[in-house]
Amino acid sequence: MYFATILAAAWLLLVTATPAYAYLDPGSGGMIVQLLLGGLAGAGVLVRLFWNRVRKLVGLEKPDDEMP
Amino acid sequence: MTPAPDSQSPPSPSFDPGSFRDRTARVFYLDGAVCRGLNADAWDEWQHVSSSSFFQRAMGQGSVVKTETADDAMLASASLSGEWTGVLRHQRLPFVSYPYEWSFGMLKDAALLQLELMAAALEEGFLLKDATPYNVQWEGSRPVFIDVTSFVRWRPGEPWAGYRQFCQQFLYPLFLQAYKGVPFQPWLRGRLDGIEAAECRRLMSLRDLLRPGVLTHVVAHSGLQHRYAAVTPKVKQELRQAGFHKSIITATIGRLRKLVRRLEWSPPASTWSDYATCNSYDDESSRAKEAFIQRIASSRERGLVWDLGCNTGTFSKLVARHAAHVVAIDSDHASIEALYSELKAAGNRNILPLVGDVADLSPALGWRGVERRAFTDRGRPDLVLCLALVHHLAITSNIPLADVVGWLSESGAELVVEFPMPDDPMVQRLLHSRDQAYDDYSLVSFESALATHFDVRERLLLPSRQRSLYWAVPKAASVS
Repeated sequence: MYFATILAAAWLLLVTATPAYAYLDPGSGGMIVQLLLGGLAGAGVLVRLFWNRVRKLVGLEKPDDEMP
Repeated sequence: MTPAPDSQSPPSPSFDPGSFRDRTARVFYLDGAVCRGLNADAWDEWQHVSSSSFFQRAMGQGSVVKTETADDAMLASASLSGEWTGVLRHQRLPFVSYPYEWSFGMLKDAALLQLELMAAALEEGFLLKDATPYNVQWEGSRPVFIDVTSFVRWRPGEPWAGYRQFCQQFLYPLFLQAYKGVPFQPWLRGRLDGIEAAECRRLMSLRDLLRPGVLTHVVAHSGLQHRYAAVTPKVKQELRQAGFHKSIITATIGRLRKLVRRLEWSPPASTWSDYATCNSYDDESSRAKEAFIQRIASSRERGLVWDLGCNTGTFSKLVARHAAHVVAIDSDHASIEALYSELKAAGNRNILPLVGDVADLSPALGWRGVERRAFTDRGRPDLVLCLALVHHLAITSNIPLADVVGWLSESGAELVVEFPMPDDPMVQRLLHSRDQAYDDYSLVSFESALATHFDVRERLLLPSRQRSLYWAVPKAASVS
C-alpha cells in the first residue's frame, strides 16, 4: 500500500504544476487522499471509482443520474 | 466558550460573534451562562451523541466540555425567539485562546485530542464533521474539546469532510515548525483558515518530500485538490457509488495519529529559555523579588492574572497558588514550550501558557473583526505582572515609557511592575546597540507616569540597586 501511495504521489508530482483551484470545491482532493490512506479498503474503492468512470466514459453506464 | 460580557447583563441572549459557521447551532450567553442553541437537526444528533458511551466517557474524563441540557426555568427567563429546538448549557472555561497563541506542543496535543475523539466516535458510528483547533480550548495545560455539535452520526458512503481542515489548521502548521523550524503562529494569525495544501507544497524542499506524511498529506493532497476541484464536482457521489466505507476513515485517523505523535520540535536554546539560570540578578536580589511578589500574591485571592513576559513561568507558578487562573504570555516560543511541557507533566489546571509579544498582542480578527477577540477583550484581569519587561517595550520596541504605563493601566487591574534602572546591565546592553537617545527612560519619568495612573502601594529597591519593584493600584479603583 505504501508503494501504491508513493507511486500515486509521484505521478501527481509529475502531472500537476499549477496551483490548486481550492475555491471551487471544499476538498474533493482530500476525500481521494483518504483512499490512499485507507489501506486495502481504500485501494478497493479507488479501483472501483476509476472503473466506474471508465464505464461511463465508454457508455456502459448512464452518467450520474442513477443515484439519489 | 468566550467569556460572557458581564455577569450583571440582563437575561436576554447575546450571541457569540465567532459562532456562526455551523448553521445548525449557535453559542450565546445568557445571564452569565454559556449556552448553545440547537436547531431540529442538531437537536436530533445531540440526542444520539449525548447518550453514546464514548461521549459520556470523554465528558467524564474532561476532554469534552461539561455540557447539560438547559432547564426550562432558564429557557423561560430568556427571550428566546423559538428558533431553537433545544438549548445546551456548557461549563464556562476560564480564558479563551486561539491556535496562533499556542506553542508547538499545544497545537500537537490539540490535534491528538481531535483525532482521539474522532477515533472513539467512529467506533460507535459517529464522527466529527469538522476539524478546527478553534474547537479546542484549555483548562490550564489540558486541552478541552468545546464544540459538542461537531459530533454527528456517520452516514454510509460519506468520507471525512474535515480532513482538509485538519491539514490546513493542524497538520501543515505542525509540519512547518517540525520540518522547517518556522514558527506557525504568524501563519495562523495571518489567515484563520490556515495554510493551503498548495502553499505547503511550495514550502517543502526535495529533502522534505521524504519526511513522514509529506508525500501523501501535502504532495498528493495538493495535486488531487487541483485535479478534482477542476475536473469533477461530484466526487462525493462517486465515492458513495464505489462503496466508500467507514474503515477508510478509521485507517486515515489511525495514520494521522501515528504521524502527529511522531512530530517533534526541539527548540534551539534561546536567550530566554535559559534566562532563569543565567540572568543579571544576584541571589539576594532574586530572593527579595520573589518574596515581594509572594507577599502581594498571597495578600488576597484573585481571579484572572496576566503574567506579561512570563519567560518560563517562575512567577506565574508562584502567583497561581493564590489565583483562579493565570495567563502566562511571552513572545519566546521556546520558553512557552518549556513551560507548557512542565505544566503538562505536573497536570496543572490553572496556568495557561501562550505565545505572544506584548508589543503586538493578538488583535480582533475574522469576519467583521469580531470573530476572534483581541487578547485584551477576553476577560478583565484582577492583577497584571509585568516583570523584567518594561525595558524591552521601551527600548527594544521603542514604545514611549509613559505610553507603556498608560497601556498597563487600561486593563483596570492591580499591577506589579519591575523597572530596571538605566544603569542595569541588561538595559545597558539594549541601549548599546541603539543610536537613538532614550531620554525618557529614567526612574523619574517612570515613577511620574506610574503616579498619573496608579496609586503606588509599595515600592522595593532590590539589593542590587539596579531594579525597582512596584505594587500599584489603578486610581479610582477600590481594591482592599
